[in-house]
Amino acid sequence: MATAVQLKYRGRVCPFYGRLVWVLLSVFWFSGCVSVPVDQPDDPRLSTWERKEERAGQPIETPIATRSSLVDSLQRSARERAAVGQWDQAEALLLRALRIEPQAADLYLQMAELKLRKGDTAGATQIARKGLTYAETGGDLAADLQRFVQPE
Amino acid sequence: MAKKPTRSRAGSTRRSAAPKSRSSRSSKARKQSRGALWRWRLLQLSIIGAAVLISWMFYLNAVVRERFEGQRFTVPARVYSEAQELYAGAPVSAGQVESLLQALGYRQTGDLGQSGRYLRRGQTLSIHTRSFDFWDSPEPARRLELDFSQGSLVNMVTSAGQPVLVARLDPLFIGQIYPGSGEDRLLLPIDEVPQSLIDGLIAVEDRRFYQHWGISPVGIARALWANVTSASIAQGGSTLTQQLVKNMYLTADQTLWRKGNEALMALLMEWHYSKEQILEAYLNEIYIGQQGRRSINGFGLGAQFFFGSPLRSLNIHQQALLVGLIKGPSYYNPRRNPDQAMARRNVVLSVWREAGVITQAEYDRALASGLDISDVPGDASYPAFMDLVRRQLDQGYRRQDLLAEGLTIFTTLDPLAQNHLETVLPDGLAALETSYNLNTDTLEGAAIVTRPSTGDVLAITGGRKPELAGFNRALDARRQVGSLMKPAVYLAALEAGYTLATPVSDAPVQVASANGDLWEPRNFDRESHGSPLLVDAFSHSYNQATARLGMEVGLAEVFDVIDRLGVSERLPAVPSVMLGAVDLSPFHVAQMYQTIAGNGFYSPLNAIRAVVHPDNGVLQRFDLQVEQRFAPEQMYLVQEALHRVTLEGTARSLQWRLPQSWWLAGKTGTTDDNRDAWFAGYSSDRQAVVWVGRDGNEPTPLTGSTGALPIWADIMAGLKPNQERRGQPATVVRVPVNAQGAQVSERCDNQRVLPFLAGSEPPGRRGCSGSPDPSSDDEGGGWWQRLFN
Repeated sequence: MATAVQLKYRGRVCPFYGRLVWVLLSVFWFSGCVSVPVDQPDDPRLSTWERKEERAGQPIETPIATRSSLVDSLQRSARERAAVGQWDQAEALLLRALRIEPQAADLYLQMAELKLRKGDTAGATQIARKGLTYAETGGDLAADLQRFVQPE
Repeated sequence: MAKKPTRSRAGSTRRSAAPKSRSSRSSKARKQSRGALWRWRLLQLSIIGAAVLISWMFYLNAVVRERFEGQRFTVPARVYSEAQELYAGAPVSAGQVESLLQALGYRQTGDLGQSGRYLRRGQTLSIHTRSFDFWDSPEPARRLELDFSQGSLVNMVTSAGQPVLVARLDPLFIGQIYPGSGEDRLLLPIDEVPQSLIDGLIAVEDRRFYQHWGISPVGIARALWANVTSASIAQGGSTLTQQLVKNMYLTADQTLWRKGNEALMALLMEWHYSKEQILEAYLNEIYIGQQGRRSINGFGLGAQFFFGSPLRSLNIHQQALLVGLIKGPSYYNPRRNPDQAMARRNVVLSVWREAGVITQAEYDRALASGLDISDVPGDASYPAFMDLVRRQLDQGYRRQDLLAEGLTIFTTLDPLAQNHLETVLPDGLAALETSYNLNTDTLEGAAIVTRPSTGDVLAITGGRKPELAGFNRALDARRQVGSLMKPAVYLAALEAGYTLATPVSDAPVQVASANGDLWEPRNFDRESHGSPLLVDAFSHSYNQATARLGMEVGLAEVFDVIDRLGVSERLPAVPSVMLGAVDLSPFHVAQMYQTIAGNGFYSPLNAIRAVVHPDNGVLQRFDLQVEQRFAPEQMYLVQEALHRVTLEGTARSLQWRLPQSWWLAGKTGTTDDNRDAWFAGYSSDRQAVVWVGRDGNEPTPLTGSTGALPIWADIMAGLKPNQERRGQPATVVRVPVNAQGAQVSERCDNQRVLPFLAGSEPPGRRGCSGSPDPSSDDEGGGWWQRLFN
């Protein structure tokens, strides 16, 4: 039986290439039958969350922590610790937050406040100076950080 | 006293002519006299023996009490990695968390009843985490459901569906240091050990534990009988106390001397201490496994080592296996010899049932269970990082504190970053050897990944075989750094009033040094490039322009900048240092670039987060140290110049190697004859430094762009730094300039917007060619632009 495509090589049909093309065409043809679309709600490769989204047909808003709310929570805990004099724990919480949001100027502000309460004025100044590199110019945060920056 | 027998013998000689009856009496007397002699000798020997024994007992008593009441256990300083933070939005994939769980020894199973287990279904991970006492706060064990999507954790709830804001996995144990005996254990008080395990241990090892005084004649007799009848040494008669003595004080030699000492010390131990104290010591001391050179001692660590779960959460069949291991930790090793281990466990279970430790139902359930052990816990070995930890401990801590038993050292190591680095560097070197037809294993490399915001060292590898300890190139390979030094020159120029748009001459230059030597640097392409703008001279790494610029600014100023950047090494006071003719390690380079990525604030690179003493609490902890060394505005301009390197300079291939949306900054470095290829750079809060070369300092065909940069790009691709970029300082303005550095209209062709310190921007707006008369020039760049003016 003649194949769908026949390639000639030096004047005669090249059986190897003919078979190859036939195989490739078959693969392309049948691949549509066996492929599983990824965006199926029951696809086990998806996470529970992704399956919910597929069923809903649209992205679902994350009900819990975004990174910011997590950082807020760590900041709150740090304030609570600082209020009872647990400086080290407070600072550790702020550093955890800083590793998550390294450019959050308010974390630097809180850390500067903490250092000042510990009596480390020079440290507070340096932390505040660095915080200023992330604070929006002219904003309240920048003004708060500026209070720690002493003229040298 | 010793003359008595002599006199007696002399007397009998004198009476030799006496009648027979007298002779008989004499013989009897002689016998009595000889018996008395022996009794006397025996008495003497007994007295001497008793004296020796008492002295020896005093000695043994001191030994027993000293160890038992002093540092009872050898507990090495345990070193841990950074803990993986889990929160919605965390930039980790399901695969990465799973690989971490496996390294931590978590076991994948559908039964999540115990901590230390997990189950993965597609992009969802269900984990029963382990509790852990971090230096700052304890982390409870809990069951979590984690959903991932597109390489991030998107949702985290408890098994009851309650949202969880943040959780920490327990950190990876990465090694032990000080005092170096090899023994390791997790100390547990007796009230944290399940009663079933205690009862079961006594039932199997020493049923008369609460009746005997340290040695058990009944037990010895029973063992002797069993051994005689079986014609082999099938049973030991040692009590738990004797076993403890043997483990704590003696060797395993089967000698009478050792057995005698063991018995005496057992008696002494029982005399001094309560049964509960002895039992607690036993539970923490007993040897039950081995991992390389690390000896697994005590049931606390044994539970974690074999089951990946804490002791108190083990099931009956798991407890039985642990007790069974005491008889032969190697022979019954469940990972190596599962059949023997299973048989032994079942024997223990049947003993427990007979002794009433467990019910028939519990026995049936336990017997039907598999061995249930976890995969072998990751034998995490990061010698280059541990090397850094040791050095920083030696620098920052008192020796006597470090030699205390049971220290816990929390480090900054990020296991995911470290494993990624250890894969990427060897693969990258092998790919380079293939591409350039080099002999295999002839290239070497080193790399270090840091977190600019805090100075944490996240990952480090000292060679292409990262698992091997030895020459740590990341810390100890001092190599010329080439153009990596150029930011210091340009920073000095910016501080001196230059701008990124200042034209600088790239003409050949000669500099005579103090000793009369002539230094004549040449560009890499051996050509001069006229008068490029400062930013272009930097991004294209022109040597001649840089040397001229440095000499104009002043060598002292450049050296001052190098010092402020954090290079603490003593540098030769020669101009060639400006082009990197100075030997530094990758660690030094990382420290230098850390100050650049840190917006001009120096923070020392740090590998240790906290050191915790078991009794005294936190000895020392990491404190964020920042010290302003440069004006943030000046550093902003240098960061922009480094960014231009990745857009249009020597590192522009990063535009296709990494997502174009990423903000990248970095610098290539190549030394004479391509002996060293470097790339140092950062993106957001991740910085990496890569060195590639040969140990023998031979030339290579590689440059910074072709040798180190591809590896750096692969490292960054895996780290996926979140793309946050500091805002532009208020004192910086952006102005469009032309190729000559003149301010022009934004509508001009070939204009570029560059940042300037406010007030330092080029004066006025000129025509597109820089002409002062806009009307006579081609403002607008073309007829169609003018049409819309």
